[in-house]
Amino acid sequence: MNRMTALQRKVAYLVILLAMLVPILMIGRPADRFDQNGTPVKSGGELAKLRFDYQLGEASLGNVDPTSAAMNLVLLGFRGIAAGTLWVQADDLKGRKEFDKLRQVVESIILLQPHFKSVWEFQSWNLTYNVSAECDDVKDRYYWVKEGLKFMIRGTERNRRVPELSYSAGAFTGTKLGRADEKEHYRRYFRSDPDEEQFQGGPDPVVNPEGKDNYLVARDWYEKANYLVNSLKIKQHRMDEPLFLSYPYQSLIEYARAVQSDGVQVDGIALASEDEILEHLAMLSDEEIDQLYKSWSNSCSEAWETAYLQWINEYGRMRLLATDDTHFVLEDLPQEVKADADEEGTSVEHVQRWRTRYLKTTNYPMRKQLCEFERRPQTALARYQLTEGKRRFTQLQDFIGARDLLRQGLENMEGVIKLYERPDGSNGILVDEEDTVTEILRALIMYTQSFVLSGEQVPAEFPLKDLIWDNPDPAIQTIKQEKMEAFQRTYGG
Amino acid sequence: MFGSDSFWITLLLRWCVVGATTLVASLLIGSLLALIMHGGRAPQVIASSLGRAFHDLVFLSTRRIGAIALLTFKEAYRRKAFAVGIVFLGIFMFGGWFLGDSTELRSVAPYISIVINSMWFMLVPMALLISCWGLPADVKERSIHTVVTKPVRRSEIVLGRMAGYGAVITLILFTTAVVGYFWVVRQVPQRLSDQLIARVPVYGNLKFLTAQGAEAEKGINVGDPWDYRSYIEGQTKARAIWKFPKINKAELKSLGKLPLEQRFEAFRTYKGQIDLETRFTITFVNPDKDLRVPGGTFPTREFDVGGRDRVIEIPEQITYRDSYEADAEEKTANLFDDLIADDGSLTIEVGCVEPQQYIGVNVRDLFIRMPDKSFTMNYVKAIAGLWLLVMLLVFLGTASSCFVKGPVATLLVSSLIIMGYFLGGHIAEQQNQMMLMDDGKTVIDAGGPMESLYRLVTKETTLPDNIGSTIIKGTDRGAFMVLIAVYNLVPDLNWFNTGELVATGFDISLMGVILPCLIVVLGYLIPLVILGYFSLQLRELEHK
Repeated sequence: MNRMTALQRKVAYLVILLAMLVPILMIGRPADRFDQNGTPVKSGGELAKLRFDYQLGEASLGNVDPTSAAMNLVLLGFRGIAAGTLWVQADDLKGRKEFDKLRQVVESIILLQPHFKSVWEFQSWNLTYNVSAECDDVKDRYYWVKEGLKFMIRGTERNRRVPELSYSAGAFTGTKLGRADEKEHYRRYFRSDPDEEQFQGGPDPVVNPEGKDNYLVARDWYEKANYLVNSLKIKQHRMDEPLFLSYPYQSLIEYARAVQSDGVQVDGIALASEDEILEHLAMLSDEEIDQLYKSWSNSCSEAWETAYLQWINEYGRMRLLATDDTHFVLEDLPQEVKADADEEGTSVEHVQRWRTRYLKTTNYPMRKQLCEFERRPQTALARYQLTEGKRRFTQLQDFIGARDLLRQGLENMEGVIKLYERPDGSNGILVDEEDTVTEILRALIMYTQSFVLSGEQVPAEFPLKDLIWDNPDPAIQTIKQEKMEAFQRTYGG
Repeated sequence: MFGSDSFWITLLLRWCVVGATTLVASLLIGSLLALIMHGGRAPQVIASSLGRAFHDLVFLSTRRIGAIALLTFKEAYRRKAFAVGIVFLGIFMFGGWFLGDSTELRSVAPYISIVINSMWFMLVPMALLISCWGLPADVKERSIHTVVTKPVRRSEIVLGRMAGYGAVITLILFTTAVVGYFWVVRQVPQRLSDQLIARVPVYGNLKFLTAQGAEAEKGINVGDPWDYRSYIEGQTKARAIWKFPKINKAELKSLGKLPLEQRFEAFRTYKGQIDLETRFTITFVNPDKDLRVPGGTFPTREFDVGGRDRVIEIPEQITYRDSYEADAEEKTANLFDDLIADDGSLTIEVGCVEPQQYIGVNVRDLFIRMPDKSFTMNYVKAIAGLWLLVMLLVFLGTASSCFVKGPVATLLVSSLIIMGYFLGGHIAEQQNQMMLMDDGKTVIDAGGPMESLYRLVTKETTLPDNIGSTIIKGTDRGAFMVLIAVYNLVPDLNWFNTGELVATGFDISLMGVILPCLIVVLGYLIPLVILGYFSLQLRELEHK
């Protein structure tokens, strides 16, 4: 029988409640010390310390959005239902092409699921690839590509420890902008946004704060992803790790390739179009044009040199991890492979087997050969001579001047290509570099046609005749046939 | 057509039929019950009940209704119903959170949607709860005795309650609407403020010509799962033809131009010229004068959210050449005198310019844009639509609470809300499928519940041709008829969704939207008062 009065009972409950608060406060006390960035360091109660150890605190995962935390609290256990409904709604809105509403719904989804990697990946891909493809105007398409990229960038800020998100931001900036059908426009817009009212001809600072080329920005993102994998030892689940780590260096190769294909540039225009370049060249003297082309040729050479050095010295010397946790280095010499094997406590053959496998997986030797070929001053000179020769042929109809430059370029190219002959008689450049072969065949067609159009006999011997023009390789002959037909379509004959 | 005499007559007839059917059914059930309970005295009881009901329902005292309404209002105030306003204030204080980065927004729609949706989410549950729980609570607490023992009719109690709850909701709605309006006006960035308008569209009828020039109801389906638009092929005879009947020539003449707004969609089958938008042509056709006047070529401007760049202004005098010959004679046509047909209609043909590319159109994708109206008035009309919705729910809730307890009434009205929003679309789709089937056309149909059950169990894709199938189909059709009957009793609440119109900057037509909503509400009010009256009359008020 309880003899306590109501008041006594209430006081007793209060005392018990207060007593229970003490251990709760001791265990659950939040972190009370912060570093200079305001990020909590290991401190506070036992739970806060455990959260720090296992990187489970909101601040450890990424920047904290109070709205998101509030939403999750307010919804109690219904977060899943709400998020599911919003996902369905987002899909429906995409189907009905209500993209601005879709963007709002996506905003709501990330409030509910800020640390769910797939939300960021799926929805940003959705905006960048699917929504942009629905638009007719290329400026609208770029807007949605950028929206997806911005969304992904926010994802990387909210989830600082997810390498896949930084990787995807790199892929959007590099591959989507650089390889789409609209790449010429996208790459230009990336440095000079079409929304002139808002950005005054400059880039959108959220996606390109320094106004760099898209491949260089992509490289920065890939570097961030590599930092998480290499330095913080966070596992990524996108692809084989050695391949994942190669992307910053691949991006530099893509950059060099882009500088080469963009051609000479016009001051004051970010990535001038072909018409703008031709208009500009028409106003320059021969000396100025020569200077401009040489400057472009040097830029190409420098870009390839940087790509080459980074590929062999940084990536090639990186200690990579095979799927069975064996470490290896792609550029290792035989004695270094032995040292690696000793350190790993395994056989030389085992390490060598993984190394050989990853040399193929990452296309390492082919990319190395490409960079090495392109960085040579003789190749750069040949590229300049071939490009200027083609311009003289197509724009000025100066067949004699074009022929001289093309011959010099072909001679220089032949000299370099011969350096890549393999012991089995094949040639590394002819086998691996289809773009280069195509480019040379175009130059060869113009060279031979310059004689035909001038009413002269094509000489019996000319540079690269045996190596490429008369090469019996069916692949080379197919390209030659295609380019001949294309030439005839354009110029007749 | 909505607004025509025949439409109103059909509407009134339908209301009368539904009302009379319900009345007869109720009378039959009531007579049966009276017969069971009173035996031979049943006819006398029925006659006296009906006589009293007539008296109670017709001779109402506004003073007594007002007194009960006031009492209801005070009761709601005591129960802190107005505290809900604080919740609304909270939503506005933190509304910006849900908009993301406002510098990125290209449309004002999210700002307006936040206000209208917040009001919906606050007022609908509130209307539901206060109207469904008020009377049962009075019965439970026996405070209803203080009312029913006074010389007041049951019908007056029902009407008084409805009016009282309606006043509470109206006051909250008014306050929140005013706060919401100023929030929108202040929050919308300057660069988007030109979207705070109320476009007045005049829509036409749409038909098509195929690529071979034959008349068709629809264009081509390009494989888009969303079949809202159908497409016309470029550089063929395919055309989308709008006919705007009886346009307001005088008003357009005073403008001195014809403002058209389009929302076409481009569909490319090949890349084409990437930096140029797909274009379309406009041709004015006057069949009476056998006149075809080209109005120009325009880009689609697909995703111009504000709609500024999608407006095409056709001048009163159109100069054109009706041939592509270099020396073709230049002609002039007057838009209003030459191009509007004798019956006052205007016909516009739209074609796609680029070969093998397509333009997607829907009947609402091209409209004549009359002078814009004020956003404020449009907002007021949107609020009026919401007000009518909550009033309807108050009436439904109050009537339900007269015959069932609070939780059951809440469930009942909640179900009606769900059905009111979602049943219409499904029924219309089913009705459409049935009409097609009756015409002998093939449709993708999963059948009714019995057919589905048969196909699930047997794993067959079709029904066999035998008597069993006829029974199954007959049963399913019967079930569907019951569903249609229910659908006719449930209000279609989608009519009240005016928020979307004000958010996208379209004028809410008083005659086209608000008046039908008002008629729906009044159409339900009368039977609901009768239902509430009889329920309260028959209800054992001593019962808790």
